Parts: sequence; C-alpha cells; structure tokens
Amino acid sequence: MPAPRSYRRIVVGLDGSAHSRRAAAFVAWLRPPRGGRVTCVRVVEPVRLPSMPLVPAPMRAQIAGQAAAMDRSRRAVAQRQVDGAAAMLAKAGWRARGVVRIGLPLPELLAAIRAERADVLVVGARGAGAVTHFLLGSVAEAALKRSPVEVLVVK
Amino acid sequence: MRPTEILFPTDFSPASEAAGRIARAMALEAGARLHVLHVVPPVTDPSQLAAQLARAGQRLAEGLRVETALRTGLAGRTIVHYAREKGIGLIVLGTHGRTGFSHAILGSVAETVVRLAPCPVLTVPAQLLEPVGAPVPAAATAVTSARPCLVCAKPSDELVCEPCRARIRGEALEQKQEAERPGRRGMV
Repeated sequence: MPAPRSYRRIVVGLDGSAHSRRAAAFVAWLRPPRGGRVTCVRVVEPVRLPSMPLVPAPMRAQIAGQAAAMDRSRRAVAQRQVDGAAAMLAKAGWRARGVVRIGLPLPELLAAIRAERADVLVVGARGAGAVTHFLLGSVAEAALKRSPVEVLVVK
Repeated sequence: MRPTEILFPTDFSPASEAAGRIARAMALEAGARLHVLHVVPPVTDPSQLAAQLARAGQRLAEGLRVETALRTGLAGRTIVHYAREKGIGLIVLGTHGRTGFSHAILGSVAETVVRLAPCPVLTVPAQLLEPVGAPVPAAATAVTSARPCLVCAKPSDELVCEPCRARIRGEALEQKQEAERPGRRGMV
C-alpha cells in the first residue's frame, strides 16, 4: 500500500481460525511500502485453575503440572502458527515476525498495537470461539470500538 | 482476494473524508472501481445531496473509475445491500468513534456494516484526521458547517446541536433516576 503512508506498520491478530488466515492473506495482497512491517500476533490465554483448598497437595501439584504442560503446548502451537503467517508475509515482501502474547485477547492486541506503533489492525471477523457471536466475534467487535487505529475486519 | 470493486459509503463528514482518502489509495492500488455511496435517511430532503455526492465523487476521481450512487434507507442495511448487489470486495468506512450513550443511538452504522457485510471492511476512526496536519479543503469545511443536526435538522457545526444534546442528556438522566428510584428495585 504505497499511497497512504499510514500503512507502514501492521498488526495482524491471529487465532487459528479460517477468518484470521484470510486476514493474513489480505495483508499479503497489499504491496509493502518501503520499511513496511507486519507483526502477526496470537494471544494465548493462560490456563486458569480453580482454587483447590480441599485437594491434597500431591494431586494439586499434578494438576498444576498438567496445566503448565497445556500452557506450553498451546504456546508452541501459537508460535508455529504466527511464524507460518510471518513466513507467508515475508514471501510477499513484508518484513514480518510472529509474536505470541500471554493474556486476554483484546487488551493484548491493543498493547501490541501500542508496542509496534501500528497504523492498522487487521483481524478476522470471527474467531475460534464464535459459537455465540455468529456474525462478528467479540474480539473483532471490541477492537472496532476500542482500537485507536484503523481496523480491517476480514471475512 | 484482490477486490475489483471498492465501496466508500460517505455521510460527507470529516470522519468519512479520512476514509475517502484511504479508499482512493486502495482503489488505485488494486486497479479497482471506486463506488461512492451516500445513503439518504428515510425522511430527508435529498435535493442538494446529489450535487454534494457528485462533488465528493469528483474529488476522488483522478485516475480512477468512480461510480456514485444515492440510495434511500437505513444507512447500515442499505450499505450492505448495495455491497451485495454490486459484488463489492472491500468496504472502507469512516467511524465517528463514539462510545457509551451516544454510541448506542448514533454510532452503530459501522457496526451493522461490519456485522452483515459480505466482504472485508476497513474502518477508519475519525481521530486520524487531526495529526496529519493537512489543511482541510475549503469545500469540505463548508460542507461540515452547513451540516444539519442529526436530531432536529437545524444547521449546526456539530453532529448533534447543543440544545438536542442537552435534551438527550436530560432524558437519559430522567430514565436513570426513574429506574433507580428507591423502592422500585427489582421491579421491571
């Protein structure tokens, strides 16, 4: 996108859904400007355990260990995915990298926009957990309202 | 993936000016036709709007195929309907970026469009206008100041004129007081 100089830095929010893959593909279609940079962000929510006051300590440790393993594997999957998207964008001529952030999706996406000083946020219309929001995912909707920058919602 | 038809719905506000610039750039990039659409609310006099729309179209037209259209209806749904009808591949839309109460009554066009559109939607927030520092063209300023208030349709510099804002606030406060009156808790 050479013309509006506002499109130097792009943050793409990925979540593994088909819509978010299309979001990355849309960016790949734009012609990268000089110094054009894309950050593919996937936010992983940490596994949260309930408090287990009556559970014996060894069992508690085991459950915590399983949760940690789950966290690790989710993070690894997420990293593979953002790296894959970054590689695809790099082929299109963008300087791209993948970032996995831990936390709640929307705050982390907004934090990524600030951290990258992005000009535009690209997200898919619906995410992985879109059963209840059948036309527009909650993250996309909230991003529309809260994002300080332009938002491209790809279907 | 590459859109051949790009839609820029405009309400002639500064917020949509910003979106217009980006829509134009996108259309140039893609070699696409740019559709400039203005939706006339159901009970409005459309006599001057055609000329205004033609001017808006001309401003964006350089080096581009531009098609302008004037439709009547509810903005969100009409935009989506137009997009389906014309096989639009990308909608570039300005948002006024309102929140809270005024968002609930006014800022929902972008939301409707994003929700129902058959294609990707790029939303451009209004605040992008200020930091650019580019002088607003004289025509645009004239358009803004002559704009009618959304509620009472009297000419106003703002989207909703001060008396109407005061009234809306007052009504909201009354409702709130009514809803939260002691002794009414739990009642519908």
